Amino acid sequence: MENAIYMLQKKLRQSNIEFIFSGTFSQGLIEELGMALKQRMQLQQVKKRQISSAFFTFVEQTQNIKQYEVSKENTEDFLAIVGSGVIAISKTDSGYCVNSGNTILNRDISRLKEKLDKIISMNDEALTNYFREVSRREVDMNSGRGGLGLIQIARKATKKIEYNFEKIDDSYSYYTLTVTV
Amino acid sequence: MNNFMVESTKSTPYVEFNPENNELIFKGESYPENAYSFYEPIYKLIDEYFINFQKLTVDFQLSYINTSSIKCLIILFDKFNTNYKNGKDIIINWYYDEDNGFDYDMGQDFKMDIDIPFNFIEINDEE
Repeated sequence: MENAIYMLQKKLRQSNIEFIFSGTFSQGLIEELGMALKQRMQLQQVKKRQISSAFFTFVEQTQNIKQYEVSKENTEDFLAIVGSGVIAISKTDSGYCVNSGNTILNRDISRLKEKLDKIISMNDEALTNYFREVSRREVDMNSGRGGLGLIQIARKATKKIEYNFEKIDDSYSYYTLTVTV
Repeated sequence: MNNFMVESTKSTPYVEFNPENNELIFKGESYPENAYSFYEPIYKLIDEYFINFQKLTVDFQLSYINTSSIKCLIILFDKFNTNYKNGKDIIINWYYDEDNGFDYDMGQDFKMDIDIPFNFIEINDEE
């Protein structure tokens, strides 16, 4: 086990990961980790604008992962999903990256992928219009399934957001999202 | 009507509603898990308030707003807008920190769908 932790730490360093959490997110934990993330970036004298974008993305992604997990409670998929969440901040040449990952059902992929591809294809102006349209629709229909969080993340990102679905087996895949701020 | 006040938490803003001064203040960050349960009591107060009162100044100083709070604030702005169109005198002051960027952009988003003019006011960094 000791060796496994050391290997993991070495791997994190190689990947330029400065901050990582893996497991089940609670609202309290999201708040504490968010504060720690902000403080860390402040100490590194990162620009305020970059800190707020990173913090925004961090909160949206962790709350998304949490909500997805909650939505699978009392289903046969819960054990595969629970605790699979990861959030990591890495430093790259082009800025800070907020990376997130969690296990999702293969049958949930196509709808998510459709939203992601649509968002990625849009420029800033199109994203603003799309934000306006979806936020209005979600308020009027009282539903949260339009992907408003992803639209906002894309608007705050300095590069196109990147995603990946790594197949685990016939039922599940591991979904990752990388956002540069 | 009584005054209404909620202290801020890590994920919810300080809210103060002072009917006598015709004033409503939001200050802090808003990213609770269930934003609707946080904002719902305020909707009720506003509906009640405009039955008898003619004017309201609303100050927003929100440095960070998650998407479920965004939706709740849209509902709030819709309420203001309906009352504004019915002849109520409503002023919206949107405070922002130039270096943050997030708060200013957010104000611009909210402004798009309502008729009430926003006063954008820059705040100086306290740190």
